[in-house]
Amino acid sequence: MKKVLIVDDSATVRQQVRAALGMAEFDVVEASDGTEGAETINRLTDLAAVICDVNMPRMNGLEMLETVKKDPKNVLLPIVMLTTEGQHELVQRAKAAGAKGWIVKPFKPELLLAAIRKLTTV
Amino acid sequence: MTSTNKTTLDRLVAENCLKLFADYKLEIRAGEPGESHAVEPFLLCGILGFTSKQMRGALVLATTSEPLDRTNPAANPSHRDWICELVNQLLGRVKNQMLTRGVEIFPSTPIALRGVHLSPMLQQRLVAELFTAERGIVCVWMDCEFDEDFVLAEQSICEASAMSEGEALMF
Repeated sequence: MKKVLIVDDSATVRQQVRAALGMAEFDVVEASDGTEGAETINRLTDLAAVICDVNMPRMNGLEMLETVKKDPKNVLLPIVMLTTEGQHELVQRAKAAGAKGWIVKPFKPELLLAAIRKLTTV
Repeated sequence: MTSTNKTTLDRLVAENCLKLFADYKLEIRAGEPGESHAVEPFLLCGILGFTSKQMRGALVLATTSEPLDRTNPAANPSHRDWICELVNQLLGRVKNQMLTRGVEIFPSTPIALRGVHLSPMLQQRLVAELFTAERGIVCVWMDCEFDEDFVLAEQSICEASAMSEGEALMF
């Protein structure tokens, strides 16, 4: 079963993502901010994809993205941003840092599932 | 100019509040003047502070229990978490609208307050928008200060430079 990490400070959103992906072929693990997310990415070597919020306490999602992508072992790890933010400057910053997608909340579960399926299909 | 700015901002907040709840399949409507409301107290209040070059303040969203229950998409709902996420999503929408008026808002992270008699202080500069749902009440207000010479455009003055709610972009 492919493992997907959801990084979001909202437990409700994490549950929503778990429900959207968990019914399919994914094992969903959770982190509640960028610091915990980065630690989880470093600890788990079998992650197939990461879904990450932007505005979070301690370390925000863009900082987390830029931090983990500096590590060569995470270069191929697909990371999708899932956020209320829609500003193009932020989207471009994420793209430049190596993100694979940007989804603005509220999200459609089927759309998120399709995106993650596409990114995790070798 | 502050009162004109506040009027424009209140309208933006109210319009986006309607759209936010509509996206979660809950129809709310603006309360009529003098309309009586249920005596049920507000359950929770979500507060999200923000700054920008031209203005700073906080967006406040208070609801009774029914609108929270009806919109929460999680199987094991936490009211506290959900009101924080709702006010976060509401400010995200307002932020996108403000970008088209040349204002970039930087939000902080939301907090929830629980209280029996939560309500805005009825000052001239602080007007709460009250909405009613089939059962329950939603109340939203933005408490903010503007720079003295700042004029908030009533309509968009530049191309939207933001993605819309629900939109996805794959790279």
